[in-house]
Amino acid sequence: MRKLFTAALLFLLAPAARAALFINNTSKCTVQVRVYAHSEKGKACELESKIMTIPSMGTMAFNNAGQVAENPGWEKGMTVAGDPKAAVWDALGFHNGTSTLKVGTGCATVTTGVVKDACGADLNVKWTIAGRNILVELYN
Amino acid sequence: MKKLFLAASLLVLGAQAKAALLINNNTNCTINITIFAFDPAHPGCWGLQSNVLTLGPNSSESYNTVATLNTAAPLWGGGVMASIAGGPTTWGWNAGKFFFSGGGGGATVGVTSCGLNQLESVPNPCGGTATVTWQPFGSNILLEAN
Repeated sequence: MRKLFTAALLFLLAPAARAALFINNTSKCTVQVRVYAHSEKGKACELESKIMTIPSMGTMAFNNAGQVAENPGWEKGMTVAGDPKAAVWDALGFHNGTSTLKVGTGCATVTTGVVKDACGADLNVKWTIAGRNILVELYN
Repeated sequence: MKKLFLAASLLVLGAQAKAALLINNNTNCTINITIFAFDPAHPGCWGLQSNVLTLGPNSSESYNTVATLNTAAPLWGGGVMASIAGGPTTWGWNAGKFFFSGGGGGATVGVTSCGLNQLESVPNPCGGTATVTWQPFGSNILLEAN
């Protein structure tokens, strides 16, 4: 009963939490990805990050979209309008050199997919929601 | 009902995922965090203890496995090296001990088998009360201060 109560409390709390993005690469290969987001009053995927390179077993954490500006930065001098903590994560794009797999919402049509990684293996890319946070997992 | 379904979906979806520890400090205060975990050579609730991770206001950190902390800051205390060689069932995250810089409160949240709660409320030196939660989803753990 107490656990159920705690679980219920956690869910009640979740909508008030601000949205972080976590990217975990548990595959055997280095991956290159971009993230897409939009400002509070903007359109889906209007913000496109520069390419991030994440080594095997590497991980990245962004508390809010404002932190993308520091590393890796937005493309073409884009900036978050308004409160960066109110910006919304839309999608993650994985690039293997020849093709792109985009997972998420907004400009993505799927939340999971499988694509060849740069090492030639099948790579799963999965977008999941935890409270208002997003976790993207890349794994073989 | 929808939320219950969502919770169930997350559990199902998480099945193939390996266990990461994801940490969010959504407060406007700096938090000091000690992480507790276990591996075959360091069993039990407090087998592996990290050095103190200082997480600034509105910032996040993540660790893919307990072995990530062999090389990533703040490292395991005493130069201990964790091993994941035995597979995902041989290691895991147990707890996070929080305390706010500049006064305020502290709390430890973690797995219930270690006698810990998954939710604690502590005084926040930036004003008000902070809620610290330990949320398993799939095989990952989300440790948050809001």
